[in-house]
Amino acid sequence: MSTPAGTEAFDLVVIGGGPAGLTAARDVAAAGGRVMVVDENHAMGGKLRGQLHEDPTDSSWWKGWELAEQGEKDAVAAGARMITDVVAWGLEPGWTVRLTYPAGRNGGPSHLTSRAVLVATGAVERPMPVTGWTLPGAMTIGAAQVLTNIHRVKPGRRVLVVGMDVLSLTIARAMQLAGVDVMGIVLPPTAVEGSSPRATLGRLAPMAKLAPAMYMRLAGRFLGWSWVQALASRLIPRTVRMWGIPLHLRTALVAIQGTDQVTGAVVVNVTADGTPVAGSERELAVDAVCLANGLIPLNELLATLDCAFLRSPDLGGTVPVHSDTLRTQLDGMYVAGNTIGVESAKIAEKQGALVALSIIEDLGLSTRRGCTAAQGALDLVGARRTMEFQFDVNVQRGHDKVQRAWETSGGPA
Amino acid sequence: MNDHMICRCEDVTATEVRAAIDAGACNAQEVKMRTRAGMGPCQGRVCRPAVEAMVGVTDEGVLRSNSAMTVHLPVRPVSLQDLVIEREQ
Amino acid sequence: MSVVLENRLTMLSMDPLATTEEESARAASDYANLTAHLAADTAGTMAGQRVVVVGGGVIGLMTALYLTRAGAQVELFEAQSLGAAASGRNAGGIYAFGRAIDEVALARASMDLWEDLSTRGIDSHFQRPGHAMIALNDHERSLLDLAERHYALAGLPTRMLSPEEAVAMLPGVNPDNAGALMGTTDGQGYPFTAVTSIIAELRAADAIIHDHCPVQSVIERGGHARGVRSERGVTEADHVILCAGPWLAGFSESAGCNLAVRPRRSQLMVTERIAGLENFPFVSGNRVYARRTHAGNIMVGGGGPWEQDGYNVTSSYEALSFLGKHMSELFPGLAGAPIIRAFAGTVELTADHLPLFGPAPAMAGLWISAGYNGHGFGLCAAMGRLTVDLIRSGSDSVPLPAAVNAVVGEFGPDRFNVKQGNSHE
Repeated sequence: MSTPAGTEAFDLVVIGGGPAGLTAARDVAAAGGRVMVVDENHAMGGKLRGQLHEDPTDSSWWKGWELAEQGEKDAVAAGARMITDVVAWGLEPGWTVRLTYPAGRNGGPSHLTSRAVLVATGAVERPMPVTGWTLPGAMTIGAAQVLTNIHRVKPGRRVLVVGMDVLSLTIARAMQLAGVDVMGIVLPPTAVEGSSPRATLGRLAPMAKLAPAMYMRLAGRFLGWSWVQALASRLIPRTVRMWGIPLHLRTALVAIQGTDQVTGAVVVNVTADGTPVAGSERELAVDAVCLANGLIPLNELLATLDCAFLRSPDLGGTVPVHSDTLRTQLDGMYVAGNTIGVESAKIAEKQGALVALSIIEDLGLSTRRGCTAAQGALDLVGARRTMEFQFDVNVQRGHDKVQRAWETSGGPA
Repeated sequence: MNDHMICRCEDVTATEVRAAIDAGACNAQEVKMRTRAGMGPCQGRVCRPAVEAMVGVTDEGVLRSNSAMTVHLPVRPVSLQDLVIEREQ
Repeated sequence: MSVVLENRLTMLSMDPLATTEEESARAASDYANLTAHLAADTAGTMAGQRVVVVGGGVIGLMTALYLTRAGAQVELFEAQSLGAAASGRNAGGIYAFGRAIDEVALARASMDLWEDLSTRGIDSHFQRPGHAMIALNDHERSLLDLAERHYALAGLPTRMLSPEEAVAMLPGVNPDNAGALMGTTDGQGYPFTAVTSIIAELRAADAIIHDHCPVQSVIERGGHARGVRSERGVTEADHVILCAGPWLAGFSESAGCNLAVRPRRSQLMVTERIAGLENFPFVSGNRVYARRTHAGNIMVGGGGPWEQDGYNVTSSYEALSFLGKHMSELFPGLAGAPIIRAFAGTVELTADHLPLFGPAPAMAGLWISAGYNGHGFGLCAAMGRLTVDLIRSGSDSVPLPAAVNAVVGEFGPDRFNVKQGNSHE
């Protein structure tokens, strides 16, 4: 049953304890704010908890769960409070955050009242509907990541990865390190928008142009020369290898096979523009298929409010219109992290620090950091420019579009 | 075309979505009304992008919501009794 | 603490203390006469006539369907999405039980037509699980006892359930209930598939449907409606019928009368599919109502004067709390059921809670069918069918049959131009 209306009022409730939310909670709490972080998972950290990869810049290991634990520890040390296993189902202007608890969990407060709310709900995977995608053994690449890196369970013995992006390459590597036989990576079904060999390489190639020297170093170590040559060439090779995993650049998934569970996959050769080559269908014997179709910002909570949105493929989907200092049109409502565009955890963390500056300014809390939110916004653009990996190379273009919308029509009334 | 599932919650197939579009449904919300895609426990969190991809979403400019497929409260399932707040006064 | 026992019977529109036995008996004879009239085949009676239907809600679509079946060439205009306002966002109730006694004959006839349509190609998921009005106190029970007598006289099959019987028949109901009155033939349907299959039949019959195409004006020449103007230009017609629901008021000038229809939000919410409730009837009481959809969800609604006027269809926290509280009290056994979605539609209210159905005074050939006060989904089959009689009464100078006039005679759309004190009650 619902508990009586909360007697305690918070300065900030953070919805989503990922890198953005935890960083913002830490900084606002450190400035004297009463902060509560709510997260629907068993533990704080969001996507960080599944991340395990070698940092391309300095060969160190990026161990997401350690960063998650550190982030939580730092926020708690600064005075922020946390509730896990709790779901925010509504935002009442004012603000009241309405909460519910999964069955079997002891309840908690039915709602929290707060002067400010930070929506840092992250992103979800875009589905890749194809014949057989609902069979046991077919899963999103994110599910494979959670199984492999958090639960230490192999997603399958012989795994096919479908879709080529930063996430799928990283997780294919993680599965390989965990002893999974990664059969290869193929392209999504031809019906999936932007899945042709040319479009796929078009998205991956510009990463190299961001920081050529770094890219060449990475490419040499990570990807192998054949990959670089593939990018440079107009002729797209059939297969290149990365860490020994074959990337089938001109093969697309047709269907996942199986009756009670995945027993195989049908693939087909495609031309550079993604037209299937008749007669080239063949079956691969696999017991798991991991589908990677990118991430989309999750922002349903804001969609129930009177808040403007903008569609931006560069940001992964539709995002709430917000200022470069991460304020929204709604007084006391802030956004940060992947909910406003799919980017790396490092950027999300910086967004968390930036939005904290805005919240501290708006709530009149004290801070010893001699930085304004406006300066923080510029730093974020700079940080984005030097990121070695980006989910979408045009992510800054997406944010610029949002900024123009904010300035022309989306700004506060 | 493969008759694969689009909406797992309500068992709506690609063929049914395609039929709705062919019968005149011109946005994700109209597909939802005609097929129930997006009406299950996840409320379209999974299938919304797939339906939008099939309808062909090209919205430009500032939008009033994050999708033509309407987003409703509660954004996650809540029991009847947990919807209740006894206001003070 | 002394408590005044309230009447929270959501769906009891009839005032059992003010209703006479003569009125109740008339409802039975009106229904018999109307049923006899509706048995006549209309096929071909409107052959060659061009009719523009303004509004693609369930009223407009159903009207178009019956006009098309009568042989008319129909062109329908909808400003937004078809069947998307109250037409798609209602509980799907198709019932007579609980209605004011004057409306019972029409509501019963409409149920019959819905049932007939469901056997003739309209996928409405029509079924008759009944409607149980549940009393939670002695006052409500006494009202139900009186109502039972009137509905029985009106010919509606009814059955009074003891509190124990109610517990047995209505899984999860409050065991401290004071009994329930059940209309055993009341029905329900699923608005979205009904609308979709009406559209399909209309298209198959060469009716023309324009969605996302608002009508800008009614064209008049020589005192007669001649068609409409829209962004598609001029559409010529012999008759124009306005089925624009709450948007009807914008046509007051064309119609030459005050088409005062007030939009009001109506909110509903839906549980996950719940197994084991296959025979759950439409239930009402404690200021809410609920029904089981064909898919297995329980849908909960219950508006009231506290609800907001206007076209806002966002869900309010007040309504969710209200519905959650009252439904949990009425059905404690469902208090833990997960609500997966709330939604709102716009209902159309008239000052006297009667529909607007009849000719517009300003010009011949202009007709009105709107203002159904939240009963549109249930009544649309009858109103669509009776529109054939209505239009024929103008074009062929066939007077409206007595059986029809008996049930729609009070619905004249020009009645709000009459001075106060002469209003229809």
